[in-house]
Amino acid sequence: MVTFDEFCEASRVVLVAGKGGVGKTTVGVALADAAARAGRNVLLVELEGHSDAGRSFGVDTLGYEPAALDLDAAGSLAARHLAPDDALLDYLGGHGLLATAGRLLTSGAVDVISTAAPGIRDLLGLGKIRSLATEGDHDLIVVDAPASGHARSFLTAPTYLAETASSGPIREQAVAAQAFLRDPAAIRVVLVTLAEETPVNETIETAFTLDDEVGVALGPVVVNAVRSAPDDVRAALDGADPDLAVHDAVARHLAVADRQRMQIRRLTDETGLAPLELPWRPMVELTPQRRTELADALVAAVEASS
Amino acid sequence: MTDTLHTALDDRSVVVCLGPGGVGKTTTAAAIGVAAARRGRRAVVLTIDPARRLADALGLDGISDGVREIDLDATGSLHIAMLDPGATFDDVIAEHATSPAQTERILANRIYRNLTAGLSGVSEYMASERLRALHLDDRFDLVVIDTPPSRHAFDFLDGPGRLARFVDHPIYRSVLAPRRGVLRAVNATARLVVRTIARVVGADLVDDAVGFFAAFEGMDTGFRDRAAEVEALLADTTRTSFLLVGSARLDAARELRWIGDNLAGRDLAADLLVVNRVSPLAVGTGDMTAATDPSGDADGPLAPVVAELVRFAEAERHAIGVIAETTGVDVTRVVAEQATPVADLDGVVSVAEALLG
Repeated sequence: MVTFDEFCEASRVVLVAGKGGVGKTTVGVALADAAARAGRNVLLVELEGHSDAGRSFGVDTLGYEPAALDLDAAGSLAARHLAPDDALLDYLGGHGLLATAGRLLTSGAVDVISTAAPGIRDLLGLGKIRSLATEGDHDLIVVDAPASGHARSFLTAPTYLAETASSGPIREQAVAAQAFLRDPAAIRVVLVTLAEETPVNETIETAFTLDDEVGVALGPVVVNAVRSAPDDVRAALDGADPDLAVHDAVARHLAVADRQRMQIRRLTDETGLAPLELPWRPMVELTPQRRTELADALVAAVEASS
Repeated sequence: MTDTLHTALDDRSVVVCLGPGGVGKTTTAAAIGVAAARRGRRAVVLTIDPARRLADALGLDGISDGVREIDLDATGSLHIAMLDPGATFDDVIAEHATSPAQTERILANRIYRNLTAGLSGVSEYMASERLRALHLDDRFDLVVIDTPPSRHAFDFLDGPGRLARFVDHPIYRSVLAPRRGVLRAVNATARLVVRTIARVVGADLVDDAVGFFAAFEGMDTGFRDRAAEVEALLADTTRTSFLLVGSARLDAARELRWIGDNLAGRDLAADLLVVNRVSPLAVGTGDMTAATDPSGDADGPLAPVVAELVRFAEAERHAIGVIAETTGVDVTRVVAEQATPVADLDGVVSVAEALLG
């Protein structure tokens, strides 16, 4: 029995990652919403994408400065965007190089640096998250990570750069980032998936890669959009007119639910952990009402898990 | 009336598939390949997605940088190719290096070894080299490209010019200048910038970078020429089509609009739009509300399920309208979610049949 409070306290940073289209941003937003309503001061950080994280709060564009999101909550919720160039500017400022930073950007030197060592932007992004975590202004930082292929390179960047740079500031950054990632009280990764074959395969593969190559702690896997298929619905469909278009639609809905069960079992068997399940909702975008429902469902799933 | 998709399948040399993640882009790219083969083309589908989704979709494991023929009942043919950036980079160097010693120098460089180990953005460096090679390959007359999701798709589109622009960059010139013996050409600003970079990233990384790019000396003209060739190919609307792939969601609509804007910024435009994985109720224009509860019992257990599915389908139709409006591209096809997930060639073939119409 885990309480949601314990879930929120397990690490300062929760990085939410997953294949594109599985609802990674939605889960991150639901977690941030639930944690704020549970009394925590939460910061939601978006690393890339188009500011979808703020949209269900009526904020169309997230900027570098944290924006307070409107939420009837005991705690608070702010959200910000963290583009790679922002992290670089921050880093340069911290090294007394802010005056030259503008010139570096306009001269295209940033592109040159990142072409020579492509992981540098990722490394500095991680460094910024690390400093946000150590500043301690927030109880919980929820990071909406890049989609999974790129999340892997994002998290393995310190390993590669620690090998590439044998000394100097980048090596220091890389080594510090490696230590940060290996501290389970500092950061853990929550993988989000759909209960479909390809995303489940990728989730299993990513979980093993992160464990082996990065050594970062893994939180529970969240399975999004799980359909329910109660027995009474099945029985009622058997007696329904098969010529109606919706008959086929309901039959498919039930078939999807069955396949999802199978995939969730496979995920559980191969990772050895029971995932958290969020219910499917008929929606084409996250409305405030859906967000609240999903946040409540997430809390319920955490508290039901063993 | 001509069908724009049929025209593209019959006449283009390149179809670039662009879209957000999770909308079935890889499946669509493979299905475009199947559909083209059915219409007599000799197609090859190239995926540069690191997640190996095409291999999953086609039930293939372990295709490396090679090209594999897919056994298909068609008048044309279908091959698939995966981009292995490391192997492609090695090939490009072996082929274009001025001497074996140069090849050895490059392969031994620490930065090169890390580049090929899979850091972000690297695969895109090599995508244009691969596209060009497939385009020139006599076995094929159509190259279908499955790009990485949204944002990273443009790393691919910018890929052709990337190494070329790099070698033209004043900083590159300045770090190489001493080796080329043209010290007078070094501009003072560039020197300052290099010193700053050294302070930021460490002198040894800069030394490695200098070594890395110095190792390419003499190859830069080749990079530039080939990049220009690929850029011209992509910009030629009689040879290349850009296909937007989305799902019936409003976030997909925003992503597609963003992609459209970025294409426009490069003087390119999408001409095809496929909306994928749409629930069967929403496909077409039939009246859904007339369907109501199939059991005829308004208080029965089916009623709320049916109501949800109908509501979802209505929202999907609305989203499809929004996608067409915001991208300014006519909806070419709406493809229903397949009854079973597309996990093998049969699944891809049924999507291809939906695309052929």
